[in-house]
Amino acid sequence: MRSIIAIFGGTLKEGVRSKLFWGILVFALLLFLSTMVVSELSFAEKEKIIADLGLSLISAFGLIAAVILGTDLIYRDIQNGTVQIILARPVKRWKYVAGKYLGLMAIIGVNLLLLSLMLLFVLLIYVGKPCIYLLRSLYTIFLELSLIASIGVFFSTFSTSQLLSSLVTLGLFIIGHSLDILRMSAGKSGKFLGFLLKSLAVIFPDLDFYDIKIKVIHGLPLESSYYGEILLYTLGYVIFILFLASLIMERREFR
Amino acid sequence: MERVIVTESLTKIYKSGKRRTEAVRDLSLEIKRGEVFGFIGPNGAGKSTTIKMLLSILYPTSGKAWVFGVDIRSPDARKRVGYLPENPRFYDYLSGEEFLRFAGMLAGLSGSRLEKKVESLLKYVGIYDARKRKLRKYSKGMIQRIGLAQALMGDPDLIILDEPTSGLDPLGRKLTLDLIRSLRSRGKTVFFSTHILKDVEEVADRVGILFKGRLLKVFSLDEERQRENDYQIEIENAGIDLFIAAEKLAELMEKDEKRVTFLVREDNLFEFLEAVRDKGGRIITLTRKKRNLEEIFLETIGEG
Ligand SMILES: Nc1ncnc2c1ncn2[C@@H]1O[C@H](COP(=O)(O)OP(=O)(O)O)[C@@H](O)[C@H]1O
Ligand SMILES: [Mg+2]
Repeated sequence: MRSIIAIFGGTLKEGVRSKLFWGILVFALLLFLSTMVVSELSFAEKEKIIADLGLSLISAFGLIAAVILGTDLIYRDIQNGTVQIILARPVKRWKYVAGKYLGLMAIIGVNLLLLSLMLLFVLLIYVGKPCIYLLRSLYTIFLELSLIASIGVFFSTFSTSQLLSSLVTLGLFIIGHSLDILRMSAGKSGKFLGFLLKSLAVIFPDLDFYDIKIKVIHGLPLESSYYGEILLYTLGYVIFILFLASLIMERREFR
Repeated sequence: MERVIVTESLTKIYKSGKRRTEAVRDLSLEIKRGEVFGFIGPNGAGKSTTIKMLLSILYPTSGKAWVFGVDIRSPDARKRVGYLPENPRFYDYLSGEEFLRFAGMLAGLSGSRLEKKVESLLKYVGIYDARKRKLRKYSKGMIQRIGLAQALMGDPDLIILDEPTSGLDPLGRKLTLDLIRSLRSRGKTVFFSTHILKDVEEVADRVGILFKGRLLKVFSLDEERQRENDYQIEIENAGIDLFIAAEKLAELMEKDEKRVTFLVREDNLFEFLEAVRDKGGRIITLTRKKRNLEEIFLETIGEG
């Protein structure tokens, strides 16, 4: 347990001090301020415009952080040889993966928290009301990022190129949001291709499941069981992927 | 004597595509408790590969090894081991102090014991004043020191150092070698690799010469030093009788049609000379051998 905490702490500290982390925060702040300008130009309700743009920005920046950091953290440890001093201790490799992932989630969590506070603050001073209901959407954004990050971590355990693993992770993100298309074309395709597409639609994470932004902003109802279900879905998926990542780490050598 | 490291025909073959590199071949070795073992060989000899196998950072292609009697395949084999990799790079954005705390936790320390150890090690390797600085701003020498400090976390009984002096300035080198001496005086076992003969000469008790993946020779420096007083004797007319008589007294070094050269220990000198006289040999030259490590090394890899 102590080794997980050590790796978690080291990862978190290293992450929140990185240029990427601060870059995202500064850039996001600028864009949040610009949403106010956009809302001035628009006829729609200011609150909805800012909330919509803001949540999209948070998703996008979170995605960048999850993909870049997720595919980078273990990869860099391996490239720099830091992983060797960690594994030369009697540390089990799955604990290394778990510690890294939890550290990464803490970084993304802090990042998301700060971005959310910015958004809520902008809304508070501009619209004059605390839009706490947006937290629902932030919750699913965090869960979605957890899933994306685990995929990035998975690739970083064996990939020899961070760029490639980032692109593949992004690709999976896009596919995960287009499973409807996959299912539709499965119906129209021949037997074999249809089966293939259908299986893919089952294997790939269904990321549209996380997209509740419109409903939250417009106050549409959501089943109360949704929040628990999506948590379980995410946990199951993440644990499965980290399990695979640990298996790869267990077999892998470090030169 | 407790055997700290035992390897049995340890072999590592790298395969990438069609290329096969035999990095380490049939390496069998025993390291005893309390000794400083210098693992010497030119670049590419397989030193790092061997060390990484001992730590399960690489897996052997074949062969077996035990550390403190525990099969290296078990993480428990690494419980009492500290390791400094070659050319280490650690986390850029952690301070020296934070990094050592990190290493200490991995070594199983916590609370005030951890804090005390971090402080004492920072002082021990002489970077206490730079403890708050980020590792990114450390010089190569300082990184090496923090690397040594992290290897000593948890007070390991076996310290494995991969090329600990390479690329260091004379001061850094001295610090590293002093540290190895002080570890020995505390009864620790040190296994270090180097391509610098002088390192080994200065601190090692025993030396293993590795060349092209093969362990060619293992010897004790003390014994070799005693043999610096050996005599090299060149003889003409050496008959079979002389060879038989010399067998117990001398080592055959060279032989051509006319002349034979023997290496004779100081203790055996007079007895050997008598044998030469009795058997009708003629002495051409007689010189003190004074073999230094470099000669032994060159001779060994020349044969290998
Ligand atoms: N990852 C690798 N793939 C293929 N060959 C390698 C790899 N790492 C090392 N080698 C080869 O194995 C041999 C031993 O390397 P190494 O153990 O690093 O030697 P040393 O530490 O003594 O300099 C060298 O010939 C080297 O080229
Ligand atoms: Mg090496």
